[in-house]
Amino acid sequence: MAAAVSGKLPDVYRLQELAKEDLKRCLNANGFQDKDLVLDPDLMKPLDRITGGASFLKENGVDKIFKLDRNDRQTKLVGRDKRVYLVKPKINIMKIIADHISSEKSRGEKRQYRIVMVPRKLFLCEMILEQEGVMGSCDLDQVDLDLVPLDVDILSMETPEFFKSYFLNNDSTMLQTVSNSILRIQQLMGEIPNVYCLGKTGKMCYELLKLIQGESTIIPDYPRSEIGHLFLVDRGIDFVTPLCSQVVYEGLLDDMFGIQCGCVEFGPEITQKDQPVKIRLHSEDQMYEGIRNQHFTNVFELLKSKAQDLQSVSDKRKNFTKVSDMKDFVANDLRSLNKSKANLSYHIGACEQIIKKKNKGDFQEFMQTEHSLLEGTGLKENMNYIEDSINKQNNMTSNLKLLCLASLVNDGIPVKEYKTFKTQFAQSHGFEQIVTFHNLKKIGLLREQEGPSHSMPAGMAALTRNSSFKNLRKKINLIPSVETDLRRPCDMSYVFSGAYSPLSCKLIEQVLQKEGFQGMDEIKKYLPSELHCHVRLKTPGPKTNQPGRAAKVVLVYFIGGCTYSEIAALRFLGKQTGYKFIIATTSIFNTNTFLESVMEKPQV
Amino acid sequence: MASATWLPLGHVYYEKIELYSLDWGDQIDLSKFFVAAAPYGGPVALMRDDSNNPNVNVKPTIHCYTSAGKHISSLRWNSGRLKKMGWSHTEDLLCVQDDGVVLVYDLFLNFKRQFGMGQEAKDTKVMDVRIFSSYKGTGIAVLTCSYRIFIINSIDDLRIRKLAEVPGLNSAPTAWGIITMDGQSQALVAKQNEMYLVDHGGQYQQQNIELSSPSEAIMDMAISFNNKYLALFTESGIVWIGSADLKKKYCEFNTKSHQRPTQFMWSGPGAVVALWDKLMLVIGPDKDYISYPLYISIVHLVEEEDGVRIIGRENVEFFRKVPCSTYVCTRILPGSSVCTCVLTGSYVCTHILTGSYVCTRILPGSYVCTCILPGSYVCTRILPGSYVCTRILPGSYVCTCILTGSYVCTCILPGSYVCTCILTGFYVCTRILTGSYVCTRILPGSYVCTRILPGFYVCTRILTGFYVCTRILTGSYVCTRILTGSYVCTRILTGSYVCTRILTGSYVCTRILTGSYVCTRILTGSYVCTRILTGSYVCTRILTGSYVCTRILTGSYVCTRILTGSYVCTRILTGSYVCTRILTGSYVCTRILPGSYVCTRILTGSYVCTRILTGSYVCTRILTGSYVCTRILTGSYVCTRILTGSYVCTRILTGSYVCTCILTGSYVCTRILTGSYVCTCILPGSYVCTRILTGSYVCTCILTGSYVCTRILTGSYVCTCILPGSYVCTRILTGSYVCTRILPGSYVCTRILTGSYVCTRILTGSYVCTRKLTGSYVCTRILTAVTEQIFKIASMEPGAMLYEASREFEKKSQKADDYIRMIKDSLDQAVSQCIQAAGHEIEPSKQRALLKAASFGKCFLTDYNPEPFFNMCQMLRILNQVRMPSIGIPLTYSQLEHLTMRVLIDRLVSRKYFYLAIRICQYLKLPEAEGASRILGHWASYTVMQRKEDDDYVANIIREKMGDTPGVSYSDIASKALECGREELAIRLLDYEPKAAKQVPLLLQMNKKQIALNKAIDSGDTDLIYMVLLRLKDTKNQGEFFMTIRNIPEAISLYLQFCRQQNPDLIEQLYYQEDNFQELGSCQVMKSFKQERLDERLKVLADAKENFTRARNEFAAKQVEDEMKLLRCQRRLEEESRKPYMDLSLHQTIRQLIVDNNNKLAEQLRKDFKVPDKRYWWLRIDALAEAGDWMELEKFSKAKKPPLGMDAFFDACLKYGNKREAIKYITRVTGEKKVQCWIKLGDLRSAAESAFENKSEDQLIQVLRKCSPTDRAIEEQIGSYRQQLTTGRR
Repeated sequence: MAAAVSGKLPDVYRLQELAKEDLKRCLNANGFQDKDLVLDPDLMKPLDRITGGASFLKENGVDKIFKLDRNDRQTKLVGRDKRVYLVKPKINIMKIIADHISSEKSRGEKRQYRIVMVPRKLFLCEMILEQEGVMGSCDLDQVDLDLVPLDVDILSMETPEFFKSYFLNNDSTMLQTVSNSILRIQQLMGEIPNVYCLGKTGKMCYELLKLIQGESTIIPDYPRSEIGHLFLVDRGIDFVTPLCSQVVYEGLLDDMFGIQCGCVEFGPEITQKDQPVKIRLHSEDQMYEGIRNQHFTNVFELLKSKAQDLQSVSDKRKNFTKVSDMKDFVANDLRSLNKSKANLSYHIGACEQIIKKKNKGDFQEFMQTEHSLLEGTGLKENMNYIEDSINKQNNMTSNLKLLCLASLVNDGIPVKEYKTFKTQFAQSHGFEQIVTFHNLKKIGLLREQEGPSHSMPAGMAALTRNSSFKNLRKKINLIPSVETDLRRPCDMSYVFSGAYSPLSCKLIEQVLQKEGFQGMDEIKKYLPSELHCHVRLKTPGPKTNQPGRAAKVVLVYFIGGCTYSEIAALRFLGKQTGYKFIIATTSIFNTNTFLESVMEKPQV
Repeated sequence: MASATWLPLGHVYYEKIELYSLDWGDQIDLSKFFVAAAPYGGPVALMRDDSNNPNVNVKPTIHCYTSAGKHISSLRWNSGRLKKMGWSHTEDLLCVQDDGVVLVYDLFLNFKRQFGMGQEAKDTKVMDVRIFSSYKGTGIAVLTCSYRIFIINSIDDLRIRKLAEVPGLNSAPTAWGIITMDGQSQALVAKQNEMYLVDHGGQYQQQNIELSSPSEAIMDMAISFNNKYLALFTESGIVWIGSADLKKKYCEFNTKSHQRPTQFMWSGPGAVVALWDKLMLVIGPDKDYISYPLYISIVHLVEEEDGVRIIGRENVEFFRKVPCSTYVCTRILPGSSVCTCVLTGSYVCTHILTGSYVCTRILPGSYVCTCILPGSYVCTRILPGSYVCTRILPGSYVCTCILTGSYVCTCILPGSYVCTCILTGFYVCTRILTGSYVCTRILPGSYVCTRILPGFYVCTRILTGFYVCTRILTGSYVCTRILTGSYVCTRILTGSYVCTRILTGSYVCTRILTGSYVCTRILTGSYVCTRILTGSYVCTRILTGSYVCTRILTGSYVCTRILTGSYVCTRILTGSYVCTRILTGSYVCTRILPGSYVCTRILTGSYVCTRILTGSYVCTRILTGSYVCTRILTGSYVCTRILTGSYVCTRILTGSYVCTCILTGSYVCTRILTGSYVCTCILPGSYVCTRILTGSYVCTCILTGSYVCTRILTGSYVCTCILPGSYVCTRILTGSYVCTRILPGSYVCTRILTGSYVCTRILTGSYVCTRKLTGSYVCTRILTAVTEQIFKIASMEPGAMLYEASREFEKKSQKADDYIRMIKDSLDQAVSQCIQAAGHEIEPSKQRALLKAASFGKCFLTDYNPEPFFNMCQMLRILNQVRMPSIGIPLTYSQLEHLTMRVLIDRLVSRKYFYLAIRICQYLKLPEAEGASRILGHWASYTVMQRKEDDDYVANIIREKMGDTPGVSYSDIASKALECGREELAIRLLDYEPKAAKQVPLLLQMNKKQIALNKAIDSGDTDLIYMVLLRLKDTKNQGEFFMTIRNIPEAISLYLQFCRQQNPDLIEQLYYQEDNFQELGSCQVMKSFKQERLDERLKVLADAKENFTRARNEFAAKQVEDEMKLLRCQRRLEEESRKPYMDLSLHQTIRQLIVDNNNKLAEQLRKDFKVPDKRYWWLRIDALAEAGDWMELEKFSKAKKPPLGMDAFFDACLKYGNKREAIKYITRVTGEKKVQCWIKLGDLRSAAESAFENKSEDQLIQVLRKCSPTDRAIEEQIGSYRQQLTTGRR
């Protein structure tokens, strides 16, 4: 479209409008004018993002809003005689709802119920409701609310549970949701001519998409498509990247404070206020836009210069000679100025917190270990460091992260070390962690080396052999040979301080360069996920015809989640190559949330 | 000549046509049979009448024949005593027994279902039955032996209603019948000479009949097909004819027969037929009659909408009025511009006869056709090239239709008039009367100019790209209008519009600037003048308590619309709101009355949101370039959802769409996809959903009392159906058609000539109809009068002349030219007449002759639209085909129009004439999904029911015929096969079904779980997999179930996921079954934490250990064993120290022991669990530092062979904030680490010194990096050290 020509991204907020409309329909459906709403806590943030607040619900006849309490099944909800539940389709939630309904029924309360599942109604849930004997008393519906636009180039499904349920438990239910969301994007922005599937899951989603598409009747009209390329990236193809410590500002914010649904919450140590302050992080905030993708070392300086700018604006008033100037200033600039000031102070506060953390303990050594693991140097030292770290009972997730990294870059950890690590880990963090180890093994994040290495006299010797990662490192140049200027980076490795370029993004770069998988057989061989398919439909690219309008717009869909560092790397890649990237993902995570989702926590 | 057989009845003629000859011979003597024949040429059911035969043991047989007497099927009657047989509108045979049970059979006498008429009817026994056509379909009424009437309005909706009791009825009513009026079925019951109308609401009304001898008992009654007319037969043989509401009497006719006629019914709306043994008497409403003596007695009459079908012994005949023969057609000589009757100072000439039609021809090439009832008249003025058609009821309306892209619609008040003049390519439709409306609709780029007689005028001017559009319903109206001496002149600039209204002596002056609009309202002698500035909107006058009110005084005219005693009022009361949202350049105009509407107008880029009456609301949302126009009645709401780049409601612009219409308590919910349109209207309980694709048409479905669906696109059709008392207003774009369907008691629109449109408006209780409607009293069908016009002896109609000309031409006579010359100015009319006459003709040779004449006439016309001719040829071909004796459906053209082509196709399908039906669909080029493939679906369903063919064969022929045709559902056919018990066939057919979601449930139903599971897994749809899994789980025992899914990883994963949330114990069982001891052990490890008592916990752990051992995971087994040991130890510690130890890790336990100064035990644990030295040292250092036991720490640091460097001690001290202690250890730290320690301590000077001692420039640089601007001295120091190092090295 015109937008693409003029270098702008297709408007992803249309998805939001669509979801909003569907929600509106659902809320106002037959006979449900005035009602209460019971909300799944998981949906609160996405819903907030989509609707822009509770006033939307009020406008659509919602009276009271309750939060669905997953633990307390006995809650009594008092309210109107019509109630809408807006929930994710999960068994335990259905049971809670069934409890509500049947206890209210037994108390003789008459009420109409409507259960709206997001993003789709599952037969399984219907069955649970039926088993619980409340199916007859409620209407079921669904709202197509999957991808939430967090920014002009980020769409997130905000389902962190995806990783566990698919990669660990092999439950493919949510793949369908992924395919549906792509379908919806295509309905809005036209069919995407080029599709590349990196990894098995990507292929599965694509097959599913074709299946669903077969039922609908869109006729592809590629010249009108707004997006030229679609990458379906299986998280399983690159577990290394999410295990790397983030150093771009946005990634650090996520690591330190946790970004949820595009918002970060700063506590009193930063804001000097009693209540935590919630800040939306998005590209319309120009100051933030300037620093979000920067390596952390630059951020302070940028903030400083911004502070000076603000000061100069604010100094302007000293020079006012006329009352009208002052009036003008108060009327126009003052508010935004104050707002910018507050914003700036928060970010400065956040930076201080980050620096404080970096100066604590053996952070430097930790980073060094991480980088040398990636580079494949100093293996012995690294192993020792890890063991010490476990013995010292440092943070469990950090320990686990180093272990996983060591396993991934070396095709597993030598049997002897593996056993030692496991024993030590259990002694430090509790014996139940043997189950965590088992989980990680199932996913492929952490395992012992197989094969002939057993017979090798020393486990260390095994580490010297060529692992897949080592080969990849060489083949696609994951470790830059020259040092990157972190201030003016010329390579996407800057997102990890120049130590490593994210594998996922590098692969995308390769494919875009080669317009397909040609010549990538060597690389394919070493990729951890077993399948790669690629589909090439009519190219609107420069070779066949005039460059299509959409040729330069790329949608990258991370199935299983991605990190802010990867987003930053893709944005950088976009700047370098002229492609426009839109990132879609099942969720945005960081190392901690990524690992914690599959760790075992005993429930006492 | 055809007219030779015509018999006159007053002004009109009737004819009897033979349809088929019967070869029943002596086998069937109708007098000995119950006869039940379906209308619309439907089948005939016969059953021997044994009521007089004492020997009732013989089981009677029911025979079913086509109209042409072809035997279809027979059935030995096995059930109870049959009271009555009849046919439903879907041609199912209804057999009503004396206990009220109704058995339903299809055409082939296959039993379909049965239902009862309620317990009371069963108990009291049924005495008499009426099967009638209700507004919902086919209804049944039974009269019980206790003289109560039970009624169901539709056999598809079995709600039994008990009608009110007739007071004092203690013997059987002398006559009774069911009448459908105002959407309700009521019974008319005659108790001797009294008549009662009873309804199911418990009401009865005694009816007054204007009868010359009021004491006579009423013996029989006949209600006309359209429920409009009633005929009564009294005991002395008097036939009374009147309106159905008994308010109007047309005549009384004395038959002098005391005997009741065997059959008594209407023949179309124009005559009553009474049949006796030897006589058939036809009586007209004007007391005229025809009597037909019967030479062969016993015939059976079947009432049709346009006549009577007569089933005799040897033939089947059709008796009907010669189409429109009563009407007088005046032919005007070419060149004359005015016709028959002229009103003072005005125009058109019309001829008025009581209750009759007038058809006039006016200017060359144009027509006026008016129909007038007493006391009313029409004045129309027409410009060359246009076409006007008007119809007027007393004090009512006009609807006009115009050719060549223009229209006029006029209506006039007595003594005054409105005259509209039309410019080429534009049209106007105006109408003013007290209590009446104006309706104007304009397409983009058109102008409207209304011209008014001297002294008055309205002039609306619109600039390019805009239009005025007003839509009127009862109680609502429109814009411009003027009284004597005053005027309004409204001008609209880009994007704005005006709505004004004025009373006598007043004026309005509106000024409008770009982007604004004005709405004014005036009382007598007063005025409002509003001024609007750029970008502002609505300026109204508001009184305190705020209201705006447009009110009109008696005798004045309204522009904004008036109904007697009503007014328009936009007002705001406290507590009620008008809520308007305006976007740039948009307007809102809301007017609301209880029970009235909102009319909104929209200009490009604007939208409207209208206001809300109590209990109802409108919610509209609009995107750029879209429009919404909504109308709302109380209690209803509209919800529109619009996608980008779409649409509209109510108002049509090029490429956009309309959707609207709401009745009380109903909703419309529309969703519009790009490029497609939807328009739906729904009444309670019924939904209509129409979806339309580009270039397609609309199909309406009519449910109980509900309807309306209008949608128009270029080249498309609309089909509307209307509720009594309601109306439809359809708007049309270029080149489209409107086609309407009529339900009893409701009316409609029009049939349209090529390229022209109709706009119909209907007021309460009255109807407009441009298409012939049998039996309705007001009805103008312009060209149907043709049969008579052409064949009437000495007819001077152009059609007749053309027919003659054509015949002469055949004979190669030059007279042909003379005839053509005579009619050359009305040749197109002549052609149309011939085409229409052909349609009404039953004899193919005559059809051909007439069509030939039309074709001949067409040759002389340069721009004649061939479509009517083409369509008529198509229709006739189909009609002739189905009339063939082998098919035996003798439909007339009018009947087909009423029945619709779709229903005809359905009827062919139900008679299993699949091939013919498909050919008709193809011939008519119907879309596959609705035409051919729908029929194929029926065919396939029928085919699978043929048990004699084997599965393979059937599956193959179905696949072969249907292929992948769109709209065919294999799963539907498969479920049909399943119904017939052909499971194998169903499975084969399901294989062709592309959608797994349709296959799987059916496979499950067939208990083909394994196949279902495979299909579900192939589809990748987890929901389907779950569906199968849970079904499997329910039907199999656990072991079998696990066996079934064990080789399917997807299934296992999903089932595990389900168990995790639903029943964790099951997971263990599954793992056990699978011998997956590793997972089993893991489960138990996690489970152990949930055990509250230690012994239970240990027991679970022991299990886990055993399982890990089985899984050959000795490592894990050892870990578990250690844990058990640790737990026991922790328990002991807790008991001894009364401090919590449980659930700490080993590391934490030892550490806690050291902190608690229990070093001995700590040592013990260290040994027992083989804790590595390094760990122990880390741990001990940290614990001692935490405990602040610096003495012990120092002692520890001096122990033999520490595995750690002194920096560990240093770090520990620093961590717990003891810098002094920390410094102690620095001296013992060696090498580079010492520098680090100093840095950590913040003593950069000492750090620099250490670095210098180490002779390391790198370390010096490290220290330098840590320096801040205040450390100038240290920096210098470092500088000098570096210097020294460099020189030293040299």
